[in-house]
Amino acid sequence: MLVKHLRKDFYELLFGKRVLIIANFDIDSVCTVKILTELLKIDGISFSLCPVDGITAMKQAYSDYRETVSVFVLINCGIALDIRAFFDNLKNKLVFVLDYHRPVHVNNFYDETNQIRILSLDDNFDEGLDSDDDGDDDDESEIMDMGDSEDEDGSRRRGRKRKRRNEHDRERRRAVWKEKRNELLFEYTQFCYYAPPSSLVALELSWAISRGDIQYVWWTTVALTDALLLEKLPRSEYVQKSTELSLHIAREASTTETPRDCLKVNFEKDLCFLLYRHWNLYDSIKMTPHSACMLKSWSLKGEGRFHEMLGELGLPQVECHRKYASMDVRCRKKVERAFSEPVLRDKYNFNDVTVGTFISEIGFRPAFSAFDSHLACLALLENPVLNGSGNVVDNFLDSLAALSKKQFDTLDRGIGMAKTHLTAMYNQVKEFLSMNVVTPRGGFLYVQMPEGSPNVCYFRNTSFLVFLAQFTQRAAVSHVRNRRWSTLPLVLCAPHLSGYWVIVGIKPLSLELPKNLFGKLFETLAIKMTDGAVLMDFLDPHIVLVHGDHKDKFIQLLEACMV
Amino acid sequence: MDISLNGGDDQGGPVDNEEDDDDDEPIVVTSAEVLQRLEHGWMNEKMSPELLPPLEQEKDAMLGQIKVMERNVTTLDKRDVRTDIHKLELERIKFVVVSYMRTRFFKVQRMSFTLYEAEMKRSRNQESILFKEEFTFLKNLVTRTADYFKATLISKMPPVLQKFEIKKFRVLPQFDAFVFFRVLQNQTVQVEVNDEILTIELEEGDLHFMRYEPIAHLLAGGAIHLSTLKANPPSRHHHHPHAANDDDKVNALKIREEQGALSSPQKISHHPQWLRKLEGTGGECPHLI
Amino acid sequence: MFGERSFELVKDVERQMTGCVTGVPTYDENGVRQVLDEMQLLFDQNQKDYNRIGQKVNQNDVTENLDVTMNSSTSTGAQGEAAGVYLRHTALERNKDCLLAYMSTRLERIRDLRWIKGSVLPEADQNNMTEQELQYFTDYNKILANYMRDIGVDGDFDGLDLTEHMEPPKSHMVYFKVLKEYGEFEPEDGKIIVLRKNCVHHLPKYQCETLIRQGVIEILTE
Repeated sequence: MLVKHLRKDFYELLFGKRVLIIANFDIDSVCTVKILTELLKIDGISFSLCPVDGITAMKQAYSDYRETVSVFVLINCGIALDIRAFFDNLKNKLVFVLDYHRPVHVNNFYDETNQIRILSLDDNFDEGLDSDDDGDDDDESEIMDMGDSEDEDGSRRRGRKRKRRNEHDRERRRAVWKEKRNELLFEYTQFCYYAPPSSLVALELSWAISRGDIQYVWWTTVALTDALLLEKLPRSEYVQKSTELSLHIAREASTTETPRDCLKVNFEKDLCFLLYRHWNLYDSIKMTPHSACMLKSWSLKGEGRFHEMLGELGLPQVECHRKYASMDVRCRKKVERAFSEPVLRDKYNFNDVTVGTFISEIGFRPAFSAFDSHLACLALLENPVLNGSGNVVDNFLDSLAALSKKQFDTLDRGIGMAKTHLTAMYNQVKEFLSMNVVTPRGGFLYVQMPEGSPNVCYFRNTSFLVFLAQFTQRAAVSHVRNRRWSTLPLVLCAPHLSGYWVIVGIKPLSLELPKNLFGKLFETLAIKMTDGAVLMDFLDPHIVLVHGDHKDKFIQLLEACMV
Repeated sequence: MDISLNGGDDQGGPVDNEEDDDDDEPIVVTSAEVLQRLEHGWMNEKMSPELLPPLEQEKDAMLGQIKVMERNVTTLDKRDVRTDIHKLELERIKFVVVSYMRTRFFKVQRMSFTLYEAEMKRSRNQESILFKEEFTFLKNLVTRTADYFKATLISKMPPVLQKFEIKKFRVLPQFDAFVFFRVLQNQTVQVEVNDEILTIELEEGDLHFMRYEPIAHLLAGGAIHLSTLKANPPSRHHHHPHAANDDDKVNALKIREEQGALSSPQKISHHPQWLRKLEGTGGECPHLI
Repeated sequence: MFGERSFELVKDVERQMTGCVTGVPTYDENGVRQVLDEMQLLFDQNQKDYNRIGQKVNQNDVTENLDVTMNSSTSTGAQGEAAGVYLRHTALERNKDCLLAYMSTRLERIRDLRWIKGSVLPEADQNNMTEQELQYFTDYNKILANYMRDIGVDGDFDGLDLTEHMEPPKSHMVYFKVLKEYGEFEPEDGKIIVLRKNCVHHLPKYQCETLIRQGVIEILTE
């Protein structure tokens, strides 16, 4: 069931009850959890928070709290599962699902008992499901009508014959309807994609209960940046949502002079080089996927061109290697104007380096862009040092702390870790390309990370893995200059824990809409493989765990499927 | 709607009965006044170096009140902003009572042998400065501690010394400690400073800083009450001419309150969450005692 | 010199108390025994001398009162012994005072531990305490519990926990993370919640200070 009124049908039902929040392991959940928990804390509602990194953990959390909690709020998890079947014994409990994964499982949407409620801001939620609903109703009502007309029929013999004929008809019609339904469902669930981030819903909620604050808007911008960076939303939708958020900012910002230690957020055009404010310009340009692929900075020749380009722009190398904050002021001013020079576009094919993003300022600290905050939180979330069960919570809490206004040291630590992560990613891509590991196999590009690679620990969780895959794809396409490659999707295979390998599949580069067919594909292949060989534990269906022994067979099957 | 101390929105007015020695009929006092008295008694207890007479009735009344409030709070509508404010108020009252009992407890524990001796010597007419429960505790503690020492040390010592001398364990209150206090009624007091006896005029509304000993007797009568330096002045302000005292010789500091210094009404909490919550409902920030 | 060892005991305990604010230092078994031995030695010597004085002085003049014996001893020439007895007696008293001070300081710290660490002491502290001290601690817990239970018992109020509400309250809820597996826990509103390791909760402030002392939960400041 879809919740229409956030305050009356969701928030007010939480008062006086014990709430359990189950949150997935990604930045959007971190932001949503932050907003939601702040609201709950103000209102004195008792809750418990359980971050989970997979479906088994989710089930464990549910069974732990089944007896003591009456309201469950699932954030970015569970919408694609049949919740009623998955959570046993849902009597007297309410489940609210706030998930940006799509497609939605049919049973969740059409839940008759009204215990499972979906929170979303979409007006026309999902046309695929709607038409299915119509078909459902019509046919069912048809069958009921036929049944009624039967009863009214008086004569027995005539009735029996007509009955048999009607039954036949009914059977046939039912079969047709079932087929049509399956077709619709297949079409709907074929591609998996993402809706706008759940934080937007949380922000709307805060506005609906009149507890809006500029901090919530800032956290939502971080989540939106996550959607942009990991290509969960197309660029156009990002721009549209950014405009919406700017309206929120305008509403929240007071007209009078705000004191220095208040958070100020502005929407501006900014250079797209990741973390350049907290790093040096040279490294930042080299390692941002977008600019790296334009310059091909992993090769010697590319690096040479890069130096040449910097020279033409009038930025001395010494300055570029210095920390951005300690750069010469004149140089820094030049940087802001330099990257819109036409010579870049003509000679070096280096364009489109500005992006509209949100910049926050607080106190006398340097400005933080949403990208910086996002990468810091992500690095803390996927911190490889504390890997293993039980430390999911610590990472999640660290990430939550980095978002808050006063915890500067956590944020700085996150920035440091983000730099390490980005460097590791860049080095990995460089290795892939230098060893020519990216190979086309049938209908897709295949990359396998060697087992002893030193950077393996950074890519155990979903977000950085997907980021790596996207970077690799972009780099490979620009490296090889084969036009066909940009139409092929990419499959990346990396070693995971305890003998398993993690396989992620992403859409082709040329495809604008972020629709991913690997979810359904992996699912069908998993059925064909032996039990326990393939674990679909992650909440993103296009990422699976495959046991080392069965990995090659899996890839072969995939190849056969995708010719 | 006014927020009353009584927890529930409907309950109002008098809750507590106090026996007056002279009258036969009980005097009815509101619970707000009882809390005020308890708070003053708590401040006095905190600042004073000796154990003060117990506030039996106030304590019992407050404990009863806490129980009533706890019951009422569970029946309140969870969505209302005032529920949380009531809950916090309940916490604050609990804190005051617990802190009062705790301050007394630590004093009793520290000066246990002195108090025990005093209690044994007390005549039947005099009121005890301990609660009944405190006395039981004191007795138990004293006997247990004495037993401990006897068992471990004294029994092992040579016969001549095998006596548990209570005088060795006495801890006396520090009557020479300096305290701040505010004067509630005009008084004169004799203070001995450097072998001279000085007479100091204490005027109503003044804040003084003196040794505890000369003014201890004033505390009992309610003529003064101990406070901290920043405490709020009472609501009435008076102009007093500057007393002609020989300030160098006097060991007392006389601090004159400026006329413009208003006491700030005690808000519930300066925690930003509260302010935001109240902003959201568009209501005023109610002032509670 | 007499009384040196006991003085050392006192100095040691003073230093250790300021050095380690929330624990019990090791019990100096040897030190105490040495002091007691010294006391016994002094007493025996005193006894001998006392008897000798008594012999020198007229039998009738010997009384229990040391001072009288002293005074009479001067007249009989037993000054040396008399002075010695006086000196040793003073040393004995001094030793007794020092020992009592030593034990009593430790006892104070043990009582404080109940308020700092709760009713169950960690291993390290238990190892530093003697049998009798441990027994005293248990009895103190009992006495305290009885007192807290009896507060307001006349007026039908079932006791007040004085170890809670150590600070003025800022809010009536608390946001914390569970450090150790605790099991079922029942806050004020009656509904049981299971405190599992590494879970984060936001619950009414009930018994939270006891749990913090036990090291079960950790307050999250955000």
